[in-house]
Amino acid sequence: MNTIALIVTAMVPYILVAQGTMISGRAGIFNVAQEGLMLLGASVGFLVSMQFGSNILGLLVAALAGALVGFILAWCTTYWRLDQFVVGLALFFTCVGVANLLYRVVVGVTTSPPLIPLLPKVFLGQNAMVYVAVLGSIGLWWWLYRTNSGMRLRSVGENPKAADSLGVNVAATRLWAGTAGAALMALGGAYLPMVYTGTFNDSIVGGRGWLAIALAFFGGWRPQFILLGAAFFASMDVLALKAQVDGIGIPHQFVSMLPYVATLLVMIFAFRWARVPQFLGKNYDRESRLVG
Amino acid sequence: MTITAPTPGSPPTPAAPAPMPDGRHSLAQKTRRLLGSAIPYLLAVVAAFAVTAVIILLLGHDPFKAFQAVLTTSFKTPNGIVETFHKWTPITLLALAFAIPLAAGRFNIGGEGQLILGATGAVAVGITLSDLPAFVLLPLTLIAGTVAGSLWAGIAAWLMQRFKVNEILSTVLLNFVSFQLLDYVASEVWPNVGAGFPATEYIGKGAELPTIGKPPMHYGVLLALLVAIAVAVWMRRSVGGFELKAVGSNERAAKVHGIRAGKVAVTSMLVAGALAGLAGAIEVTGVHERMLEGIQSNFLLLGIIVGLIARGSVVAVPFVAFGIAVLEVGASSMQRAAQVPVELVLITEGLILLFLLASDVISGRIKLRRKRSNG
Amino acid sequence: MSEPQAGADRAPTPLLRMTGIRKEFGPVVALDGVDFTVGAREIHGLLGGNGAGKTTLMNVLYGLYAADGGTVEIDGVPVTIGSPRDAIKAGVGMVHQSFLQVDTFTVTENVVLGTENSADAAAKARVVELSQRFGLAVDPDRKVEDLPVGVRQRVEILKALYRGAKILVLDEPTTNLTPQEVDALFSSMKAIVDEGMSVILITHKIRETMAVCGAMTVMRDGRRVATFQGGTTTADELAASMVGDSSSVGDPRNSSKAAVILGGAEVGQTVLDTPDVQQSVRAVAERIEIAGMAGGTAAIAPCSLAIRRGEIVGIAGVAGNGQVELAEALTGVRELVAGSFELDGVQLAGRPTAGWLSAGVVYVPEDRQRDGILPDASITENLMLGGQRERARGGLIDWARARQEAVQAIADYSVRTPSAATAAGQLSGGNIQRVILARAFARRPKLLVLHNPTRGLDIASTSFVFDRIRAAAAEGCAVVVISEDLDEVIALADRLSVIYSGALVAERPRGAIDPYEVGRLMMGVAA
Repeated sequence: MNTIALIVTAMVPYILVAQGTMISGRAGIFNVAQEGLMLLGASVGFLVSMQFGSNILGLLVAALAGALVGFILAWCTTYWRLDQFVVGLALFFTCVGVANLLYRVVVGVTTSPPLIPLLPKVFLGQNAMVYVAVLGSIGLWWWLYRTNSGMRLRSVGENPKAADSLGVNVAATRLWAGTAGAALMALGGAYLPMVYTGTFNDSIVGGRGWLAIALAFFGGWRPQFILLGAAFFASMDVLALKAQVDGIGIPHQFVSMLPYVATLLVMIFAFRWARVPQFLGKNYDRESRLVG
Repeated sequence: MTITAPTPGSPPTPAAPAPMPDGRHSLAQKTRRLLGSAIPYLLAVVAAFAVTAVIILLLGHDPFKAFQAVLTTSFKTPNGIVETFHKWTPITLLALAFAIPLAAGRFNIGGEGQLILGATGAVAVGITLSDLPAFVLLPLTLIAGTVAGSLWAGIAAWLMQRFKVNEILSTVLLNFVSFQLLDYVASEVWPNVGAGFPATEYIGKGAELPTIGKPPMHYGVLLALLVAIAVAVWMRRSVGGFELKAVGSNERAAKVHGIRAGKVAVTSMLVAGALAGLAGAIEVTGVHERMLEGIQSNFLLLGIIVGLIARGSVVAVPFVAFGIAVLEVGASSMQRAAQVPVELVLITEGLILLFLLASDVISGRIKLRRKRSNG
Repeated sequence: MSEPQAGADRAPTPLLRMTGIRKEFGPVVALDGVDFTVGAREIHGLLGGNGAGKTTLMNVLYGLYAADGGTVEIDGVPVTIGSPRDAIKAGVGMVHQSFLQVDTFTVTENVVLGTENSADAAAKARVVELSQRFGLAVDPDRKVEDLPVGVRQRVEILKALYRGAKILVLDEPTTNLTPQEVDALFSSMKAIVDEGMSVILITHKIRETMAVCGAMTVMRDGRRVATFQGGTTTADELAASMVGDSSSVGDPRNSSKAAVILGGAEVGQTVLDTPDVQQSVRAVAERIEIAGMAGGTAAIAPCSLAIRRGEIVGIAGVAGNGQVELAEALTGVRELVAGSFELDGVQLAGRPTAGWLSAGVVYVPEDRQRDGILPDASITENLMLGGQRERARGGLIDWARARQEAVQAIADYSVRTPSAATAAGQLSGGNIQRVILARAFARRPKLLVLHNPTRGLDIASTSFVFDRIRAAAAEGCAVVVISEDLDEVIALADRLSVIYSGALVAERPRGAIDPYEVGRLMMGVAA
């Protein structure tokens, strides 16, 4: 496979997870459980595919599992107004625990892990999820800026009090956006065993969840730029992999650092120009006398 | 105003007695308040164990046997006790490394990277200067680890302060960089080829922490205890601790009132990195006598869980850390005794935290209702 | 006092009837069984001092607060309002004091948000049509964050009209407007009433209420005190029912002070104890330039200001003309780009904020929640804020002593709180300001800069604050009072400047202050 094709394939998890982060964030919910949600998605997706012989079913159930976690996060932060980072981190741990436990319970301890068939290539040497992710991002762009419901979502993450005063249902918007966002994150995780490894292990996500948060900032919380930014993150991935295989004269450990170091450097610029939803990470209390 | 206990002749107060005007409480009130704040913890632990029991039952194992193994391993044998304290040490230090920046409203998720750098600094000194006598080498080794951890956290702090890069992201990303660094140091710089996995040579004898008792417990435990006490005093009484909390409570107001919020936040990150680095140095000098792949264990996760369960209170951290250390030590014997996978313990810990958060909400509602029905 | 139910009896079916409305915030009873009636085609003034419950009552009507008791009828039909959505459906529109707008949205997007429509050409045409019909000029494509206050207010009114509001609630709409903008607003209000709707005008300003309202309801301490029909009352009667303490009305000093605060009396009657202004100069700002918030452009033209010992300098102006920047520059919170600032001959420019603080500069900021307090820290800790370094020994703070002092401060400043350990964020706005002032005066300031010090305070608190400020000046403190409330500045200042568009444009000593001239200066019209 040529490099471009590899990059396109590698873009998908970044796109899905960063768009999920963006959708939640546009409603004011800053989800930080991506890494855990991806691992959960990978575990559930793998196990369901293995048991029922259907990758599509695996993807769907993984998304459902993610949706459940996202719903818990949205509920806790919307109705109970618990701190988003605290709940997010708690869910991150719980997801990691559940993902590993599920695999352990179903597969057990074995030296020869079971394999599932990889996603078939449907068009131009790419699997269907590539087209879902790219076309979905474009659709998201149109929806967010051209429709009434997209405008409502944006208003909730910018100024929920204003949105509320105009009859936008802030709580419902946060609930669905938090749920849908987390579903996308788990979907991005389920993609990994179905495209790369054919099996599950506890380090399969390898920081992609955290990198996707960086991508959401990098893309200015706008779907079109997230789509473009994903290409950068994916090329770092592929570059590190290629350099490791081909060998370029420096220790492979330093090459493997590349995606993370590059992201750190990129963040320096991203945080300068990126416009963040005003209410990101905050909880809305209609009767609070403290908030303007 | 002097503080007096309620006089015997005064009429009994049915509801919660009002505090003194300056907000201090009598001993009886203090005890009641302490008990009151212990109840949510108790409920959260019971609820988490109840859910865990259901899961164990669903997996077809015996929850009673599993819990017995989890809760008693630490106390049944001297080995268990020592192992528990050896786990408690890095968990406490990493929990403080999370809780201190949290007080200033910053999230340090980079504890394991800072721990690995601390371990790296420790082995660098411990191997290259292995001929030095212990009274020079050991302090030098510990200091090298502490400084290295602090510098590693300093990268994130600098990015945060200078470029406004979100510290959650930068600290996490630096963890992944540190894994590669560990691999490089252990397989290229000072490799122990015979180990069969990435590990460094052993450090000099003079760099090893002395131990007490049998089975031996290293003095790092005591060191961590002293550090925890110092941190608690510093947070509650010192100007620095006050400014840290002021920045965490309202950064804008703190700045308006002359506090250099940026400096305070950066300092909190450097202190956090130093504590995590010290944890790494203790792991090297007290437990492994070298650096090896996976030295960071799951201490980051546990540290964050402890910090959050303690609600960021540095006083509560050592106690919560002890409870979590007991669970962790018990986990592997649980797998042996009841065939329950160790991964379940992480879920239990996550559940304790979630239930604790939920109990806050519930107790808040109850208070509100009581207030309504009273007035 | 008039017959309370007079208004309700005259109109057979009032447009709005609220009965027995009750609302509690924790232990505080904000509304205690309020009845409120508004007739059709009526501009109804809702008056009261701050904390009287006017805004709370209207927030209940608009569904932002859930009432703990009472009923609402619109056009004689009982309605249940659980959310703003219900209120809008029932024909209620509300313009809040702080505008509820999405800054990054255009005017049209802000107007259509929450309706079923998207911000397309049809929506834009409707916005233009409404703005022309009611004299509310706006550009539908501009982002609201780029618009001045007066225009953003029109956007708010358009939002309500676009939804077909029958009852339009305006919460203190004139606070930040120039007299010209107020006139335009009032004529828009009349146009709205002419089309068959009713307007509820929440205000604490008696003059404008009497000028425009057909009926007036006065509230105090969460209760309705009286309802007057237009022309049946006098400014004095209204002021008396707002203040509530009939005994003090007889005292000329009190009544004139209250009247000044309420904006009901002629200015100039209230020269109290004039401090000796002949004293030496204390603080000198010379040609200071201040970096603005956005883009680094200077928000303030180079300006100079000298304040003597014991002198109160008032700076009047419409909000957003550089007051915040000036206040922060005079207190070392914001860095000076150029110029010098000397206090008692000591150069402070270039020092960090803490250096200004320890030199004796004290700032009472406008935004108390944001700049003034640590919300989850105790009152004791809040009183310590800013003084923690000077008061520590060996880096450790003596909290036992700090607690004792806090108890004393709470008594001295009548802060209503269960204890000194109560979190400052749980206090009411007025009590938060008392804590901030206690902290400020405890530092024995040499220069005291106050920005809108009495905004949101009731009359008793306001006169308390005035007394404290005058007492500090009498002790030799140099005082700068920056305020959007012209009456407040005039009541306090020995010397008055006007800030317009980032520049200090005029200076008048007490006695030579003509409020109408000042009003023109505030709008940038040369005198």
